[in-house]
Amino acid sequence: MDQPSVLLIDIEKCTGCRICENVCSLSHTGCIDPGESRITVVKDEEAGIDIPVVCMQCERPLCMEVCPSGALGRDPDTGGVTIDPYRCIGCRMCVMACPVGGITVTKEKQVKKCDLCGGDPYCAKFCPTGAIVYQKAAKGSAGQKRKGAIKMIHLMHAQGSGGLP
Amino acid sequence: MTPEAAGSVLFVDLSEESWSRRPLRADEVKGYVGGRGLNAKFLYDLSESVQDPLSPENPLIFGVGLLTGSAAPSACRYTVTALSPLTGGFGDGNSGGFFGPEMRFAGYAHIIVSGRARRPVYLHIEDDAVAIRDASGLWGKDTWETDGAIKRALGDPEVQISCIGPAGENGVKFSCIINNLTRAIGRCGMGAVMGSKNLKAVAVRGSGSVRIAHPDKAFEILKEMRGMMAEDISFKMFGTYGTPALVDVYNSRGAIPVKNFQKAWIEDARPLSGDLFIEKYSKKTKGCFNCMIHCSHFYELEGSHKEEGLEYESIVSLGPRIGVEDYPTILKGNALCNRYGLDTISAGDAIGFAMEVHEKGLIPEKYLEGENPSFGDGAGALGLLEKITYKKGLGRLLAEGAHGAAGILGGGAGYYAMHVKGQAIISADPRALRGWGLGFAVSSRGADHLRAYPVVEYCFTPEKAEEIWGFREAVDRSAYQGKGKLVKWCEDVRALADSLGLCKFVTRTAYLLPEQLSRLIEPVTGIAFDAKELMRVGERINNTEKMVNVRRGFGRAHDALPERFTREPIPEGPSAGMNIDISQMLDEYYRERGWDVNTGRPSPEKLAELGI
Repeated sequence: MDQPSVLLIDIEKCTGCRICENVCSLSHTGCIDPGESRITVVKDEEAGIDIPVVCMQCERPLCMEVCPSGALGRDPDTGGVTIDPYRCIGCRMCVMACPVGGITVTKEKQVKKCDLCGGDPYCAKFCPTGAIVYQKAAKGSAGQKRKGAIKMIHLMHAQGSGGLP
Repeated sequence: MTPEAAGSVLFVDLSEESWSRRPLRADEVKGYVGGRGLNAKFLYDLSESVQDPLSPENPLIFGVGLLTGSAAPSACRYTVTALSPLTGGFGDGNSGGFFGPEMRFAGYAHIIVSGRARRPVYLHIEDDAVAIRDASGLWGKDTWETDGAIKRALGDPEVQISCIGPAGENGVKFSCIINNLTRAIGRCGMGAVMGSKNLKAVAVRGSGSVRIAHPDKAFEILKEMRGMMAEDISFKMFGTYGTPALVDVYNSRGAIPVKNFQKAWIEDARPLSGDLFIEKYSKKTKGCFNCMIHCSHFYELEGSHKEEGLEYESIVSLGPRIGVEDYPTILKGNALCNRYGLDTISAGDAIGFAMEVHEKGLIPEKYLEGENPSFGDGAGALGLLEKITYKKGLGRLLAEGAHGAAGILGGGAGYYAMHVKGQAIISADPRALRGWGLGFAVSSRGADHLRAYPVVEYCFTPEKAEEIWGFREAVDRSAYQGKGKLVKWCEDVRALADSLGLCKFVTRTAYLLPEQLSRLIEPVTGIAFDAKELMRVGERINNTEKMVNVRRGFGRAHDALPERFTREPIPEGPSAGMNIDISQMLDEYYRERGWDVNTGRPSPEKLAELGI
């Protein structure tokens, strides 16, 4: 079986340009409309921090557990969490339950969330710095580990411990 | 999208505390596109009887480009236009970030503010709701404090704010308007005009959407842009270093101003290099709305401050132009200018001017008030930024800008004011880049590079020049021949970028040609402009701005560079021996524009042809 891919976000690479928001709303609605985007870049301008907030497609999604109408399910192809608009009763319990703020409430009071664009997410495709990537879970995990260790690597080089390529 | 759907025009009268709005008209969009262009048209129509730029009658006009907030690459910009207290003539500034797109999402293409509020106010716009709110508690606060206080008061951290600092409140002639904490409507003293209206800020929040005519084509454009990001050498340079890389670019050509333009070269520019900035201060790159280039940075000066930014112009104005060659002083100066709301270029220029004229003994003690401005005195310069902002001591004189200060001083000080039409010259020495020199001289808002922005003069090959303009000298920076033609062409395409709301970097050499712009506009907006029509719009905008200046008494004599550039050749470095005499280029430029060579005025036929 194909390994599933995951959406991974490296906030240190995010420039805050909001292209992810724009291509998200453009691909889903034909408009540039931050209120329709399933991904939102939350900014702290004074601190220079930009964090793209989007559904992380949890393994045990609280949104799915809390949904009273069984509207939330899984896409068999991507493994992503889906909302069935016909079953959704609009109670927005999923919004409350989500620990990351991954569900968007639109102007029309609809709840919408990332559908991974059917397996080829636009946000990752157009992110100019690779702050958002969509890749095999294990590869992504290795990348995260390396990122965490890189400071240690620099430190060891600086102290002349050597031994590392 | 129909042109009318591109947004509303909001009229706010602060004296009457009233407002009204109407949709854009098709003829306005087809004739002037939007942004800078349509702002200019509004100013031309509304300013005929205005005398003093700081009087309530002077309209302050905010405008987003036709593409701002759309899917087009780097479509983030807005322009603020008014008669300039610095030049006395046409004035505007242009800024990126996220304010412009938010204005579009709220449904507004232009906001025209007139009158003067009885007490400090700010304008709060949330979609259809418009309110003039009390800003008494904000008056005196710097731009950062103002931004935070409004967000807290409205309980909305996502609101976008364009505001002035104390410099604008106090009427400093080169005060700017700041959005997103560090992005500036920098030039022409638009902050002072805003302050004169008792308008502390405009806060906007929008929930609207911008319909894209052909999303598939828009995605193709974004893909094309992505491809260019990987291949285009200048995109790579801006994406990695931002404009600090230009320190080496201009220094290696002997075109970097040193000590108020006494020199144009630094023997060892490493202490100011883009490399050093990246290595030592930058934490990460930052980008404006929908921009892949991310030329900005978030930097930290340990123990002092951290913020977004640092541009080449600020490095040089607060650095070599005042004899300073260390990043910590420059970074501190940059942060102060952002918070006070000062244009870094004019602020550094005024200080450099003071340093030189003081050296020559031309500032009487009554103006100095104990100050001893001297090249290389970084701490003194930082102190002067505060004094300028609050018009204290020597700052009272320098708050007029170098040209204004020279007028007060008299006694030959004017020779050292490096300006055109009262506007400080940017940090590229025109003796070494002659097309740029002509661009500074004829720019409608006074010495400024972004009107013509003829970068092609040094980054195109002669073959490319021949292909586009039919002659090779356009790209020979020492040639006079052909520069009138080049600058006219560049001014017309740059006016389009500013009116579309596109960044000058994305249109610098990539989306430069009108044919390329044309291919961008229709898929995004559904409004068709062919290349010829676009060039005509660019020409119309430049002529409209020119006519504002003609009305204000400007003529050929005002399209001139400071005498220093003709009399004193560059003393050393790669451009040693070069000076500039623009008269031949100016003749060619006027002829190319269809303007009278003696008066510099557009002919009645030209105006009729353009419908002005």
